[in-house]
Amino acid sequence: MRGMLNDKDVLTGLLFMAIGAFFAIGAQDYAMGTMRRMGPGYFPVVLGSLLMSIGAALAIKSVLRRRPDRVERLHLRPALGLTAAILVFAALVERAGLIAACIACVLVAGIASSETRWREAVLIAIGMAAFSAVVFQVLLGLPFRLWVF
Amino acid sequence: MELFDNLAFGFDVAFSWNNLLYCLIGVVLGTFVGVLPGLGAVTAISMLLPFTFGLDPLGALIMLSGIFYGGLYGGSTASILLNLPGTPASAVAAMDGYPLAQQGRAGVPLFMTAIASFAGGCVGLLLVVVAAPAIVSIALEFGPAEYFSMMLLGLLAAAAAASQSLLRSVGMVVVGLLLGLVGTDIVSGMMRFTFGVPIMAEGISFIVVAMAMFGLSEVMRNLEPHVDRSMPDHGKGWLSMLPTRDEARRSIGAVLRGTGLGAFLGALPGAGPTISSFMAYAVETRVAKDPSRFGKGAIEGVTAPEAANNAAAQTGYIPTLTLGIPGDAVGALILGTLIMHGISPGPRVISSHPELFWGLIASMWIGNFLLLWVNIPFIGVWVKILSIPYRILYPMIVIFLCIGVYSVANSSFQLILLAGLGAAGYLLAKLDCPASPLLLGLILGPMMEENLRRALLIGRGDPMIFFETPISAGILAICGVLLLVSLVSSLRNTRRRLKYSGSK
Repeated sequence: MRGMLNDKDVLTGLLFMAIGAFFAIGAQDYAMGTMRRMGPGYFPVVLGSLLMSIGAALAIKSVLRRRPDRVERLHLRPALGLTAAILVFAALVERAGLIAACIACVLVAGIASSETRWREAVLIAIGMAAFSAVVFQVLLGLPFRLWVF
Repeated sequence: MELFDNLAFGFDVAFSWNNLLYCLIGVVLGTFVGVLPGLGAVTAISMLLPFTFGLDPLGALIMLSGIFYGGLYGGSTASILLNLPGTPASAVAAMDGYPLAQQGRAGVPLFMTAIASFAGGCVGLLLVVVAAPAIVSIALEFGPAEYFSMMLLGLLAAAAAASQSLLRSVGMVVVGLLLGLVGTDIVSGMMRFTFGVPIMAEGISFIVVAMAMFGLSEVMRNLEPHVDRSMPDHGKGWLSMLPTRDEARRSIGAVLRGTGLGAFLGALPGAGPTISSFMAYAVETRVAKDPSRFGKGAIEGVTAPEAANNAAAQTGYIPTLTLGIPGDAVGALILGTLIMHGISPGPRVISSHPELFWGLIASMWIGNFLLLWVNIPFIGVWVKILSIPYRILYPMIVIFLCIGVYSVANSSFQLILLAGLGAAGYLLAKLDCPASPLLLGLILGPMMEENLRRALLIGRGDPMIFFETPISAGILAICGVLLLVSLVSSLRNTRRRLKYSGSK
């Protein structure tokens, strides 16, 4: 039974049940209305319950089958490195401007791969900052501030 | 003939300098992104979508469509040369294209895919031109009940096509529908699931979801250490492109069969380019006199699927443009673009925006032609791009994603959403949960809820309203059959798998 917790179907089922419950319970604050005049709460409650039952069916089916289909290994380095890179860009783009955000983002993204060569990464960072500034801000006119002091 | 007038009008619109330029840019960018290892047509569209905001609706559609079929084409280049398909749709091209490349004859499949794609695309477009007005005349009669049933069918079909496990992909559709509810409820004006974040009132943008699921999490998976990307040694003279006479002769039938199959399948909801190319490959192995050649470099194994996937790519526009119900992730993105430009999708699009529909069709014809000229003479350039190492490419992709998502609403909040959804997409991919049903659900969610509410209001709260008109009842019957068929086939699959693993 303990091995089943690593099973793809069981995990997917649990995830679906959690998401379904989140929406179904969250929708309790909204008026349900009637079949004829549905309130804002009706559709989310129906869908949330549907998702919960789909999740339960997936999980139960797989527990009964007792043949765990293990989840592939998660690689945290690319996942966390890239998430961090996006968040760094988000934090800097308004406070420090586009150029600083691009440079920081590329450098942090470098952590995500074991093949990164740092000298190259610095060059890409500078190149992308210049490219973004010229193409997106100057040519396409997207409303970025290049530098903020 | 009204048809020819319309086409002439379309070409008139498409031949304006602006639109030709957008078309060319789209095709080149699409091929470029499609060629890049690990990135396919859907990623290409999602990544470049925000940069079409500034264009007029037609310009944006022309460019996005160019990116789409350019990306499809570029994707097959990558699979033939590297055996590293960016998308499942181009995975088929690798099965016989890559062996040819290993034999030092990569030029032949590259040249033949260009021709086959062109032929498939043209025939697919012809079908769009003929079928779309006919479907529109039926669809104009649709009420909310018919629309709801139609969307249900679209979602179910997309779910059935997306994954082996129907429960999983239906679950992903429902997750998408739920995410689509976030924001202001159109009927009551109530904020749902916004958690007090003002920008959430507008809902979760499909662009952010598409960029997270098809862009960011895709890059995460490509960065896993075991992914190998080395070019085969082609030997000298591999750029000679001409097929042998025998290969050329065999390709004609293959292209015709692939085109027919793709054009038909593409128009059905749920069955996009991917399924068409796999089916076309399967058909070729059946009709061949000597099936053992397949997998070792049979040219029909390259040309038929390529013709099929391009034909399907074109006819896939039929449900999107006539009914407002996309058949796959690309259709969903095109539909989202329409909505974003303030055009409400549905059967009235063609009559109220004729320049949009006919201009787009004509531009796709031009685009398919441009694709030949972008590809055949410049194959050497594309091959060079293929050899750019991923460690240099991926930081650039990340910057594109950041800037694109930020410009959706000029807010850093969208970027935080991108980071979260990207990580979630990576986990979902690890659980074998397909992303495209989620995207479809997200885009169709609000429309589906609206039509459900309206239908039930008309039917005085009685769900029998969905069975009262023949069209809606018929569509629901198809839904039932579809569910039954996928259930039976999944049961059969499970049993077979059990037998197989038991005998080991």
